[in-house]
Amino acid sequence: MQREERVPRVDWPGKVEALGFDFHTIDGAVYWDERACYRFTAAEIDKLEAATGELQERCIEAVTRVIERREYERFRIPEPFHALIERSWNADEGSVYGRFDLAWDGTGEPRMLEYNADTPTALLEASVVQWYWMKDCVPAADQFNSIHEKLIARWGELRGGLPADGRVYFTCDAESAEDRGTVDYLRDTATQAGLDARAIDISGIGWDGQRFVDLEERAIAALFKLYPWEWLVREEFGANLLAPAMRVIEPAWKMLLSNKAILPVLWEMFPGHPNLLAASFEPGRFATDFVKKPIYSREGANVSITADGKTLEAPGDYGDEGYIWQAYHPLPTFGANHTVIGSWIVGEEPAGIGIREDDTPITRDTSRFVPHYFE
Amino acid sequence: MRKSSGRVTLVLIGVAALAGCGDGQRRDVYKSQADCLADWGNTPRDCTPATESQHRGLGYFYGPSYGYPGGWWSWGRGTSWSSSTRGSRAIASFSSSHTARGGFGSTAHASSSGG
Repeated sequence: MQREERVPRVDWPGKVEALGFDFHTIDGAVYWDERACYRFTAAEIDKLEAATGELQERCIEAVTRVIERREYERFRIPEPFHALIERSWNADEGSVYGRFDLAWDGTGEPRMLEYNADTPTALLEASVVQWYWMKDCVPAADQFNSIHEKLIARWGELRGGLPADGRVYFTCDAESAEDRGTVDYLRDTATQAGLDARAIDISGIGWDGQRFVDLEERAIAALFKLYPWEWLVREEFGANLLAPAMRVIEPAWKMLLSNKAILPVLWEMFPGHPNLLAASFEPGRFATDFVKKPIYSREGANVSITADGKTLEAPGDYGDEGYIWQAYHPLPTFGANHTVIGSWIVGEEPAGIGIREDDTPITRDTSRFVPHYFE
Repeated sequence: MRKSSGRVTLVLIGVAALAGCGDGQRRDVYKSQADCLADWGNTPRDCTPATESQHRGLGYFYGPSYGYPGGWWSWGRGTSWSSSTRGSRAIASFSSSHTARGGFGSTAHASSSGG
């Protein structure tokens, strides 16, 4: 795994915008960054793929245990929604996608920092934009990225459990360009799988007293939401989700995997696992270097790192539901860049990676996306 | 065996697809011309007498056609991504029903819902 500096393509903004990627620059700073790339060997990619598959299996085992033991209190999930989780699990409601964040520098074992299992973003850039970058810049090389093909295939696999007319509504907070772009891309893949993929802003979803409806009063029988489960269940319409009339993707059981409480549960079940980091619900578990993470947190908000006698904390509004503590495993640095590998799961399979860089040890929503290839 | 997609084709997003996106056109219905004009900048050509059977003969007016930007249904939000949203004085099919809206979305703030 090596970082290579490169000259960006002429008119790279035009090239990526032509792919529907219009959030390549955030607040005037580069987000899509092709001034560099990462080069892997085939053996390194095999290692990442195997570790991702291994972690996915262990995570499914962890969900099984949590549901069997009804350990929902550890996850701070409101009581009425325990049944919703169990219903979605027992009905074998399938997942579309997820993304592990891994710390790895090409040596030793990749370590799981967390699992963005409910509302992962940085998808279009990983699946499409870096693929076209590879075709332009290193056409003879390969890339660990079959996300696009796998997404289309996954929608096809899920088709049998969706409404007969194939209509699926896709929602998010449409005022967020990044979320809208992610959902539009997922709609694109669903459309290619033969689904009737409609988009509706999260605030436009109606409740007519018996069912969720669109703006023309048609029932929403299937909803893909890029909107966190922990937000949905606490909002005004949250209790209406308990009515069994609407299929939700990602399914309700994924709220266990997107919750940081899954990290200490995994460590309890698989202590010493080479792809996991020690984690605990107890604040005193680590005497020196550790990371404190809110049970509910996104994009690094309210995460604090204590190492070498110093504490670095990211701002945010999370933490009311409690925290977990995780052994500190620093991200590898390449020059001045702290690098994290986002490893994608589609369905239950490893599907590819996307790499993010930041000037700080905490990965944030503005952390730069850097393409990769392997030979 | 290669680990990258053999082909990556987009059908909804990107420059090539922009002209084709959206779920069609929509017009707001008003009880009076005055309401319509108030919503649409007092431009008479934007407000025309209602022609559909369910609205005809009631003095109703239609506002101008507008699409759903990028195929997105919005509701009551004057947003930067939506250049034309439903007028506040329109009588929409949903406004005369008992449907409640806005029950999701309150937690969303400036930061992304993703991760």
